[in-house]
Amino acid sequence: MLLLWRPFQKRFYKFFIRFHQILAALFAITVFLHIPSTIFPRLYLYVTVGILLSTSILKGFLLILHNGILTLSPPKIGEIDWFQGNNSPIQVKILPKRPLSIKPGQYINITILSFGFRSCTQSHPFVVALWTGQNQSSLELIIQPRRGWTRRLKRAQNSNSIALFTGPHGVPVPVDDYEYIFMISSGYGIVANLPLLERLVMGTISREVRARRICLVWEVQDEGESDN
Amino acid sequence: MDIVKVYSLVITVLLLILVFIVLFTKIFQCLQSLQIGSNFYTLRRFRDLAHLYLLRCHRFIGPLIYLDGVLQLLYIIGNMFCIFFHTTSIKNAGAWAGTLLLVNMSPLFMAIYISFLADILGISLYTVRFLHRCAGLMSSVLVLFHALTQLAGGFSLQDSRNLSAVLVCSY
Repeated sequence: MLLLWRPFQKRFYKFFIRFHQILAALFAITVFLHIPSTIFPRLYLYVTVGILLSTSILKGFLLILHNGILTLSPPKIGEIDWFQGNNSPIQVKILPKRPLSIKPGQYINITILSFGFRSCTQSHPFVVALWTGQNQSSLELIIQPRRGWTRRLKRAQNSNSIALFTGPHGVPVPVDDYEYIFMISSGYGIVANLPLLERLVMGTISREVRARRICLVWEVQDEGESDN
Repeated sequence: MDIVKVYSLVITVLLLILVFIVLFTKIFQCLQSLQIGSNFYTLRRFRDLAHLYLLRCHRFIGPLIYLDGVLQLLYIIGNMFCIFFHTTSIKNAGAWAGTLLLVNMSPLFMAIYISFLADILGISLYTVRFLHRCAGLMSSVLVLFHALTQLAGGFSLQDSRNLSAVLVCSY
């Protein structure tokens, strides 16, 4: 019951997600052992396993293709910048193998191999903060420093580390179709709105969007957050 | 053809429709870039109808929009219909619930990363999480119903395969 409680899930997310995955695997194995070995109930499980294998193979193939693993030219971290202060944002540039087509509001999942074995098994989602309207040869991310992985990223001096990524993921937000746009964000949530604002500004100049009025409400906890 | 096979067929068709919409959208985008085709994205306007709240955001529950509420209700009705359609006893209904569980757990194991599944189906991460939660809750209810009805009907826990299934599912 504790695992179902959302504040607990948020506080101990890594523990929750691993426990959830282990229980799910155990559940699938025990169900497989429990059901009769006739064709029909088992076929439902075989179809599920078939879909899981197909999506895993497809994801693996896309990971290899996007990251240039076969050609031994994986994407790297370009620059890591941050302002002074404990809670100041980290600005990271990822240099993909070839220019990527990113739509405003899409995100990528990153794995940095040089952070050790545990980080190889983790992927972290970040919205691409800068949108240029063209295929991008540099993906700019603005990251809130937390306790684990992001704190290590801030300390990382070697900005030439290999950064494997998947994506871009996510359905693009159709901001072009609306005349009145109301955006709300709090703290670092503003990063998700930045590419949409860029799209709206560029679209207004080139007369591609219908926007007539844009209202952005940004809630910040301290003044330093907005200055950064 | 029994009712669970019909149910699984309907779920498969719905998922295939989503996959084909993604494929056709990609083809339309290519055609649009070649200045062929009309404004396909006017279809998106239908989504605006879904932005009415059934339950507003509270500390521990919500928000729930009307479309989500209606989909959940249809999902529950569909499953209940499959369990109690042409069943003669409660034990028989429990057995159907067990078979239905195998179909309902399929969306839970479709991909290791749900963001990738959202891309394949062309829906938002929010919708995939919503579907994952619905299928998970429905699977839990079906497991509970199946276990209780089978235990009441003289189900043996001496068999290690049955015992392990009950123990893991109870977690």
